Amino acid sequence: MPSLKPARLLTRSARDYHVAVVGSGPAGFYTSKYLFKKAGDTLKIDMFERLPTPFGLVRFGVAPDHPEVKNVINDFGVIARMPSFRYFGNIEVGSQPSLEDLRKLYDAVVLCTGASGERLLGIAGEESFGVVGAPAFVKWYNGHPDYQDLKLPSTVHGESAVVLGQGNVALDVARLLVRPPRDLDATDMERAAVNTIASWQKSGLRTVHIVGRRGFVQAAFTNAELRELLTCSDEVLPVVDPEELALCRNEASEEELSKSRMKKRSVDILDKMAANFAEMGSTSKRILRVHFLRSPQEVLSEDGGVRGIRLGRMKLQGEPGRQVAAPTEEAALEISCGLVVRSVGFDITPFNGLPLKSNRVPHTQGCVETSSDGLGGLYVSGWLKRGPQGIIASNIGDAQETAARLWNDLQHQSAKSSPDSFVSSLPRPVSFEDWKKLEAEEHRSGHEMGKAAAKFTRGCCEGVIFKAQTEGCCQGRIYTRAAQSCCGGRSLYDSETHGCCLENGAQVYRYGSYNCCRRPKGICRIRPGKATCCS
Amino acid sequence: MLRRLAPGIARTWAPSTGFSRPGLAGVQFLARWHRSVADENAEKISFHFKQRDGSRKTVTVPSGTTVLEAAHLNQVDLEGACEASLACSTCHVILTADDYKKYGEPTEKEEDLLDLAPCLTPTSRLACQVVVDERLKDQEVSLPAMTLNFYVDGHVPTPH
Repeated sequence: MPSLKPARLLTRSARDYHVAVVGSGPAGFYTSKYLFKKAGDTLKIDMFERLPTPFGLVRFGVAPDHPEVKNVINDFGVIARMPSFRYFGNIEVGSQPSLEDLRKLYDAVVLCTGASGERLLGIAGEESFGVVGAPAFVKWYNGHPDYQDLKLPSTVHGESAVVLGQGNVALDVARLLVRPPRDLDATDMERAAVNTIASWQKSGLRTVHIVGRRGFVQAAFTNAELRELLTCSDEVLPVVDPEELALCRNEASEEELSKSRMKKRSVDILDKMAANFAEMGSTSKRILRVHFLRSPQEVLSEDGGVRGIRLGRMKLQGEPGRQVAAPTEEAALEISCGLVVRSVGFDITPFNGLPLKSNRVPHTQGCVETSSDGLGGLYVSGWLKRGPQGIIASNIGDAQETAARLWNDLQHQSAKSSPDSFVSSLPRPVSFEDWKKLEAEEHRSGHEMGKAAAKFTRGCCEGVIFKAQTEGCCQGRIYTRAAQSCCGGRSLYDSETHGCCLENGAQVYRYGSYNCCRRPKGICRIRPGKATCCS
Repeated sequence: MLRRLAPGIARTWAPSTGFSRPGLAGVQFLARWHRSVADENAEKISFHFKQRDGSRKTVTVPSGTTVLEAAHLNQVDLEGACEASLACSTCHVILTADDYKKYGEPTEKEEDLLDLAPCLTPTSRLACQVVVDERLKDQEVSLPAMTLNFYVDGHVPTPH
């Protein structure tokens, strides 16, 4: 427990430090946990989450057929229930309140907002209908409110789907596309998604290809997930071409293999899949075919919809540990398919007001900016800090570093007064107790449907539920996104005829009659005969 | 927004990760997911944790407790993120060569997870899968230096 700090007790007032944590996924909760370990009772944490519901990718990223992985939320629940911790759901930091607002009020702010952007491949045809990114696809089937409207083909052309990428997310997507829908429906997977996958399978989806550009020794999947392809269902047959498997074992890969316990153990699993290859033509099972040394060259489409994909043959080049995929002159493979899921990683989404350098937030041990001029220090933790890779537990060490650095820095600051009046002005935040009620309802209504849970997929506007993909919430009023927008989180305006100027607070102004300027700061009225009123 | 103080009534469960907050009477409660411990008549076994800072902590638990539960009951810093469901590797510990032999090979599932544990050794196990009994009497269980590829515990960062 916390060590005594006699210097602090003698020279400072006994005010507690207040830290704001933005984001309620593993990064946010582990950072809070390790801050409490350092600080004991002398620290108060307020956590802000954009959605009503907490837990980030634990809720929206973990595969629905991996419920044990989500047990970590019980640990997070212990943190959430600590007296010095408060959870405020349905509060979007960055718009209202702004990051600067928080830094003025709190002794430190930790951003744990993750990475939700999609990485693109940059190949022709990528924009065709039926090509989706795994970040969106996974959130769609996991009931994320922003992704329930994802447009997908109603049938899958060519009875095949192609997943590009070979990390564990790619294996998740592939496995869920071929598992029996009755297995899927028993989980907390969104029922609409289960029904879509069921109708795809019924209308002929038979084969899912999992494509990686390098060999199995370089692939990012891990053994538990790879093994699961063999065991997930007796309606599923995972296969790999034994010749292609042999191609993966060039000299440099053999050297990498000899040094990796995990990769050595994977050979056995892949050999079993290679043994299945002979059955591929005659089986009635759904097929999961893993391809190595193949890279997408072009998505083939017709009338804007995906019809196939051309995959070039690659070879491995370079030193052991640094091999890259290089193109060859060999014939490309064309696969007829109607769905392509790009599972090649996430991308950092820039946070309003946060510096980015070569797509990473510059920091030292998690510190972006130390506190100064009345602004609390700014810190990062999780994917926003390390980049978008790793598992839930990867956040543990990361959070320990940021927490240690933050706590160290706080010793050189005096605590501000409590942000309680700001907090009490927040528009109907969702508390952790509210979330527990919602969770109980998700389980109850899920059980009625034969599911583990039926997730709440809409938004919450000051106590009223709204459809997040077509509607918004503007200080307690629900509006339709197509017609209106919300300026500064406060003022509704007609987005056809008006604009929102944020240079000098949030000001709504009419196009044509007013301008929004840097100088003078804010809106100004355009004089007759003049083109603009900005200087 | 007023915070309602948690009543001083003892919770039925304690944090599941060794983060100790003793209840009112200072008594440590079992975590919610801890299996019910073997009966009172079960023999009490003492063994030692070698912690990350090198210090040794002797713990005594009823035979039948897992090493992970023993850690949590005694404020030993060992995470158990997936709550003993074989879905993570945060409870990675290192046994002596003799003890590893006594306990036999882990299951394939446990081995798959050990693949991902940093500082892996030939005598590594997941603490949630090792049951304390007379095999472990007076033996030493070590905590690995790193928590998943990132941070060496005990390191104090110096601000720039």
